[in-house]
Amino acid sequence: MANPETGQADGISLDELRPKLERAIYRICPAWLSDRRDDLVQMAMMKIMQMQRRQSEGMIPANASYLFRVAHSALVDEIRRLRRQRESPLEDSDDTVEPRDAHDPERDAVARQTGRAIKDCLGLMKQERRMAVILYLQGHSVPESSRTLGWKRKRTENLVFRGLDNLRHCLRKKGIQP
Amino acid sequence: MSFNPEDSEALRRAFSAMAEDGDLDTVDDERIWRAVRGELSREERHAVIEETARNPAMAESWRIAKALSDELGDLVTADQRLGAEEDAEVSARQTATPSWVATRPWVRRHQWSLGFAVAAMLALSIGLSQSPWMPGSVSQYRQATQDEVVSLLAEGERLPRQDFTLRWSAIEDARYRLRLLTPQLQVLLDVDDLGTNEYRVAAQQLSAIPSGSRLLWQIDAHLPDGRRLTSATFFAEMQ
Repeated sequence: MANPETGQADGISLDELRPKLERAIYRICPAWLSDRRDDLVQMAMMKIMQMQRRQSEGMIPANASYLFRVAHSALVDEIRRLRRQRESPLEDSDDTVEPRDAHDPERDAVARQTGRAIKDCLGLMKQERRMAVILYLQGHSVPESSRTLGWKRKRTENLVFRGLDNLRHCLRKKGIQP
Repeated sequence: MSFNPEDSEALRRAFSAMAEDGDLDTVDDERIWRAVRGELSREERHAVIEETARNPAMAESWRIAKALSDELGDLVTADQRLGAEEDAEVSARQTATPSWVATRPWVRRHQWSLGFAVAAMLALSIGLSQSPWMPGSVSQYRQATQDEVVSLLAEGERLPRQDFTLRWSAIEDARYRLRLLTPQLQVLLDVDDLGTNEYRVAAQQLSAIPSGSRLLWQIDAHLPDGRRLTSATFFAEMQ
């Protein structure tokens, strides 16, 4: 159970939690939200503190894993909200998102176009290679992918290697090359 | 187009750039979190990964979950659960688990603990049968081959808190994963990708363990040919 005075929840305090959240958010924050990273950290911390208050009332279980799950939910919701706002700025003029990379719409467009080509190429790939490549693109190391997929490391490594080769070949065929 | 597909980071950036194309209606963030944390079955995890290929909104949710999960890692690691699942699969293959076990929800919930407890009992029985005071015993050290991992600690060896160093037989070019559990079967340590056949556990990590406690430990050796060897469960006593 969380201690309402210290914010301690089964082995993690708010002081310990905050830098972990900051690191995670700095890693995954889209470029257009880079100016909002501290806001995202603050928002996630507030959600967690709300949860801890409820935990102190015995309404929900307290543990670090649960608090991180809360942070995940809060972050995806907030990023989606800000993205909607970015796409329709008139909906909420008090809180307009000014994307850092607004000056380079061409780069944005190229990245999205390439992303769509990657998605198409993944759809053409054999399932096992596709799963290995997706995790690679999501930033997983081979040992991490191996455990997530439940496959041996060597097999995973081969599938990543072959899958990336397929992907690059497919992208070149679509005219996406240096 | 100024894009280099040979550049892996560029591929990753491009893959994440299409998040706004996602279909939010079909995203189940809770399920994604559980998949990343290893709380779903392997088949369910595969299904979620496949969906992330089709839906960039799911892929974004997965990235956020992974980043948070990495930070949470040293508190409660997904690897523990995933490792437990692998162990349960191996255990099921080796022991042909009776059907009543698989159908009991409490058994499924605690299969990691049970698996380890069974392994611990097996290790204990093996340890007793091979202990130095039993006739015809053979030391674990002499049994070491390239096809198994054995403890290099003497049976019942007491290790000081300040130098709690676990040692096991080396296999050429292998990488190791070490798991250390409390007597209550709580995971105390889970380290992966070790290049040497010993590991000194920081005294700080053992601070909550009373003297005289018997800790359990186990090694997975990942061989260059892709095989994985899992050791028996060993005991180490805290001085």
